[in-house]
Amino acid sequence: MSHGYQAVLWNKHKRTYDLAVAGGIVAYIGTFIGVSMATWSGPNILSTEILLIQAFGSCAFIMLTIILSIGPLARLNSIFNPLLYNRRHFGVMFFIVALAHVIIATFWYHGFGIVNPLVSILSMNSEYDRIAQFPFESLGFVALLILFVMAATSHDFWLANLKPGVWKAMHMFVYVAYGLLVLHVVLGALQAERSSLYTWLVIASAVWLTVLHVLTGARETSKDHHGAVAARDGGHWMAVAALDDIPNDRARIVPMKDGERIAVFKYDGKVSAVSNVCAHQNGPLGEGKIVDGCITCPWHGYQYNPDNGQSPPPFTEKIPTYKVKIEGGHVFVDPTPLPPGTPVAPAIIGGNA
Amino acid sequence: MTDHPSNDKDPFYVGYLTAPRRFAVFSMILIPVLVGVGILSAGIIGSSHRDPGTGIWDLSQPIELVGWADMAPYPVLRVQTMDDGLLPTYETVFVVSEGKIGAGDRIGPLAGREVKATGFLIERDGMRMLELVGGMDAVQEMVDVRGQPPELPPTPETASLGTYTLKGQIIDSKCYLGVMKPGEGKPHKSCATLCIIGGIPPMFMTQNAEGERMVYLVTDPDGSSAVKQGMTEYIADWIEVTGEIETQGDVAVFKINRETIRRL
Repeated sequence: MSHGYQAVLWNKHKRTYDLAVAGGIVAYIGTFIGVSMATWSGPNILSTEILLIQAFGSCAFIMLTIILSIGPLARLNSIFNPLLYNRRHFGVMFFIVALAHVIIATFWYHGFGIVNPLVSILSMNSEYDRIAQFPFESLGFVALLILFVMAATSHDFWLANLKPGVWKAMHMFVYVAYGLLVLHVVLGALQAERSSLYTWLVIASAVWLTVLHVLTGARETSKDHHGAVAARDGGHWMAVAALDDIPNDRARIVPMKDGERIAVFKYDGKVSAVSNVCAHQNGPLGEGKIVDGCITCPWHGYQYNPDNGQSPPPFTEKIPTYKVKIEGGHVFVDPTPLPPGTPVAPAIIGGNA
Repeated sequence: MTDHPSNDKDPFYVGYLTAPRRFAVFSMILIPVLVGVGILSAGIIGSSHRDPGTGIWDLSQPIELVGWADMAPYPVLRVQTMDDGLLPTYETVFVVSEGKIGAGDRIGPLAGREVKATGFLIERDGMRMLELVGGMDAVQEMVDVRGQPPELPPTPETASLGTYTLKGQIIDSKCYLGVMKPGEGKPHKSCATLCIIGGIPPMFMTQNAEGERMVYLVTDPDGSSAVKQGMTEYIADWIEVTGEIETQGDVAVFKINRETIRRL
């Protein structure tokens, strides 16, 4: 967490995760080159540079499809959370693979000529008004610029300084980059290949991600709708849940009319209410768990004391807290958020309200 | 942080804790599946290339060729292939510089002279090209080497084969003949354009119903360079174009009428 900035706070999981991704990249590139050389060999062998351009490019596209799948999959089922935990490293490795594709392609296709390679990328094919002839390189170039900004700001230093809302909004541009890359592949590589399977892979990627995101969005909306019914207006206080409906060491997420969500935790004979939004990357705290007495975010394990919304020292994150009480077996919350880190006495189960 | 064995009762995953069994088992299945899908995709995409042809770019060692420098309208060498007392025959070897740059600056001033040129051989389907190496010394006039006056340069016989409308692609000869494999199609469009405007001779690649390829040198109707507006924007596109086909010695030339170019 953010008691100081280090390049990477390593642990066993991150090492295993990174090794699996790096191993996957090596296996992909090796298989691609091996199969290509087995398909066209001898005098018909393809240029090594072109093989590398295609291998790195297609690898990057598949990596991005997986990366964009992780978020919604984790929303649909927490079993995918191990993929989410270190997704940022996956993203940076994807950028490195994409960069390798761009560097080799720029030198090979746009270098060694009478025009600056960077100028050549944008100008050598100037048929911007025609779909079939459209300069697909420019689409990849813009996508790379977006991805560069994201990779460069992936560190927690930027997350903290840009604030999670701005940082998340900025990183949503990855979907713009993905759209540009689909067009980059469709208007570029796909127009020169003989197999329709390659085309179907790209279509499958786009359809899969679209369906996955629509499903996840529908489920989130449904959960909010269900929660809103449960949150009956009881005057200043809102009845948010029956005490028995909240599992021990877990939370009930309660959506408010203004779109905010409150996470109501039951733990150790007490109930506390905090913002559902983790101060780190806006993770859903209400899907977390009480670990070592702290609310623990399911995304990256950031922790907060339930009775004051503060991360345990030396960490410094704070989240808004809410007043909470128990009456007649029901939990009531004052929906007015208190400033982040404000101590609030937990409601004692079986105690006086 | 500490391990939480009781975590298995209410599984909750955080990277710095021991993973609950359910998460660990699922991940051990999911990761190989994802890698497997990646490898399968690599196999599918890796096997989907078109035949890049049999072109070679022999960088193992430079070769020397002696021949007559000519601009026709692109730089070539006319290399004598037979002289058994009968009339000599000549092979046309195209000449280019390193990179995506033509060799007009080195061949042009020596046009009509017998020269020795040093470079790497590029070759495909019986057509040869020399990529010069060694700066301005790559092409040396033979009179300097032997101290003898030059003979008269050969004049290739020309014959018109008629006017045709062909479907195909304008390609840059250097990449197509072996430097890039594949050296054609949309991904190669910018590179081909960069090559051709840099002085690499443009060629027209077409194929008959049986898939057999024919490659023609491309010029304007008057035999001058076709590298002009009205042609360069169509490089690497599938087009239909009309022009006169003419043989100039061993070279088939397609004298295209740029106004007739139509994208397919």
